[in-house]
Amino acid sequence: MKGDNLKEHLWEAGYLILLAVILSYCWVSFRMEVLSPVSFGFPFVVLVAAVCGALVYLFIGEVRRAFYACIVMCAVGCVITALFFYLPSFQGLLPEQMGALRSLDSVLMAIFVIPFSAAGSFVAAYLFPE
Amino acid sequence: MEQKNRKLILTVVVLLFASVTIIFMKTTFDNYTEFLRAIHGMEGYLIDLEIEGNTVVLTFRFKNESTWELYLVNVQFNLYANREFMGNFDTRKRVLLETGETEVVVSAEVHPRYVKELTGQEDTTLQSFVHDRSGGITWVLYGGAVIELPFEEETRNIDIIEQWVST
Repeated sequence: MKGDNLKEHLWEAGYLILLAVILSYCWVSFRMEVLSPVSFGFPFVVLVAAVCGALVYLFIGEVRRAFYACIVMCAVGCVITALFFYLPSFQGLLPEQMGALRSLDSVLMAIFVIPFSAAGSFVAAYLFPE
Repeated sequence: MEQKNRKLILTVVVLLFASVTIIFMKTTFDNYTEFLRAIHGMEGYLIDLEIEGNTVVLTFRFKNESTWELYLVNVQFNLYANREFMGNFDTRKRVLLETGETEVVVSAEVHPRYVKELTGQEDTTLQSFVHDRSGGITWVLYGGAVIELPFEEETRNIDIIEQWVST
């Protein structure tokens, strides 16, 4: 029973990380523009955030837990984005201060992405009740 | 059972999208690091200055640290000799800057009016003035170069501030 529970939690964590990677790339492609093979606009990024939120709810099936999971997913996505912008400083391509400043972009990402992903999960909960 | 199937399908779909995303993220990161190398690793400096008549022949060396093939689209500068203004020059030739170092020669033909202001004599060329003068001339160059990146008309400027003493 305990082992099953742990497996479920690990599965859930892996699922959230995968969604966070998708979310993070959408933001990075929006910010990187021509440097990214596919460049998304801002409306698409918030749409993806909402879809990710809905996917979180569909996976978890509980509104309350889905809401917290959405916040965790966005936080992980923001950490990935921050790493993306900070890593060049670590490689010595950018001054550390500039790298740290650029990685603050993840705060801006969090401001937009968290409300939209939560809203996405609520809409999914409304359309497909528990 | 039904919920488990749903979770499984969702996981597979998300995994597929995430795999594509990771590949794109890697490409974007590689492009970003190359971009930083191209911008922050690009340097242009003067390595030689020769005078032929009233023409100053300047040789610049540009260092491209990225693996991208960049283009030098313009070099523009103000030239001063012993603090006397010699003119504003630019060369709008497109030069390929491959990875490593590339030398670019720029000829600046100084207007006779500025030559006269420097030498204080009529019918004296810069070359003969430098040759006859024992102290040499201090050349100062303020300007920059425009580098074109391998994207749609994306350019960046680099500063070139150099000093040279010709004897």
